[in-house]
Amino acid sequence: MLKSKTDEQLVELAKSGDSEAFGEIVRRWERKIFALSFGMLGREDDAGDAAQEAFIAAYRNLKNFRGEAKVSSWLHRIAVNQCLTTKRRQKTRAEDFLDAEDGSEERAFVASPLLSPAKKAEKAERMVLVRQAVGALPTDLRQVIVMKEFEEMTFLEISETLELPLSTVKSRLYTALKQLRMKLERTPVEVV
Amino acid sequence: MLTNGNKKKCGFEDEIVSYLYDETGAVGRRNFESHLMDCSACTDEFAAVSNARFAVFEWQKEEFAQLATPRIVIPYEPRADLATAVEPVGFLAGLRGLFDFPRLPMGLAAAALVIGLGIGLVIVTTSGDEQMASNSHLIIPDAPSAVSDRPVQASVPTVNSGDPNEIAANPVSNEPVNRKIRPVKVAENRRSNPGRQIGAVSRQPAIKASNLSLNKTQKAPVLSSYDDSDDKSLRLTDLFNDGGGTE
Repeated sequence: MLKSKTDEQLVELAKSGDSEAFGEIVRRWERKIFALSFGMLGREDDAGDAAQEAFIAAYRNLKNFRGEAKVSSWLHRIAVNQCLTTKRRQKTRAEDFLDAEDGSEERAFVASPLLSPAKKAEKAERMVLVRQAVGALPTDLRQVIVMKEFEEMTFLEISETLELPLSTVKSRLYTALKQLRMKLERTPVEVV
Repeated sequence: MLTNGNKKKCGFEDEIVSYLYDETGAVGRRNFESHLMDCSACTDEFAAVSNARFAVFEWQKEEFAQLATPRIVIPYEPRADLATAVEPVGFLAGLRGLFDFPRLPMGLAAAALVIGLGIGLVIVTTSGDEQMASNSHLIIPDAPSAVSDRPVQASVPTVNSGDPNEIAANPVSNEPVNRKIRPVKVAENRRSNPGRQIGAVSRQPAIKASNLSLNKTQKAPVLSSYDDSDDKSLRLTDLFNDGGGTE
């Protein structure tokens, strides 16, 4: 019965104390929010913590949701803010994307077994570079490219979620890809 | 035409990303492909943007796609602010809250207790009234047509023969036998006015057919032709007369 309700209806039910309704919201959006968090932060454990904190913050601020924006927009805004808070916390602990150069942090990258060791190393290095390059993008550009590549949203969905015109979304994505290209071209990958 | 310094733009920037992510229509795709054939700058730009996009796509596929979604745990604690915002305060609200679904058993138990007390009170009251009614043995008929209007002097024996000596020799029951007895419609009165008879002190003797000692051979006097000389009953004045008998 809850599956047939819209996000806005579920939020109204959750505001009146229906925890099952909020649980349905979590089930619908947990993968996308986790993907957004991973793209913004670059690490699985950080992304998991940020997604958890984002949903808890959303639950605690249900009364502040007035229905003027879409629930997806509201959740994305909370998640991005949570990611920025996590990143600031990491900087105060001198942990950022640059630490990934030594490869000591936990990484989910698993190279194909068909690749040679050299190729595997090259690929691993490239992943680090891409992660760093995306992490170095401005927040508004990074969010658009993460929503496109990790959440696999269409331009129209991104436009509705971020409450931006369609042309602005396309323009931001184009700018983000251009900056990524320049960063990746400046940092050549050394093959060991 | 898109230059290296981006000073002169073709106006196809938005089309590059739309074509890159295959979100352009068939007409838009044909137009852009035909433009790429004529514009080397746009072709180079498209190639560079594609490489950057592919790098991110590869990163997502290699490091994120196989990750399991972490379990999100929400601490669903009762929130006083939401509760107070939603539920009004007051006696009626509290009464209504008793019959809310989570607390329905409590509300039902309270309602059952009240009903049980009420039934018990009614039973006690009715049993007390019935006890009083059974002790009095008399029932008041409330309708005028119930019984005879003549007061019944149950304590005064009446004998048709009239001789005081016979009275002494043949004591009769205290029930009057020499008068016309109209059957008392006790049952009807009880049915029609049950409340009337509960607790009422009856003034009419309950006359039963078995108690009647009517001499069927004796004929009841007709009151219209009744003469004092025919009256053989014992009167109070007779008791004070020396000779007794009738005057």
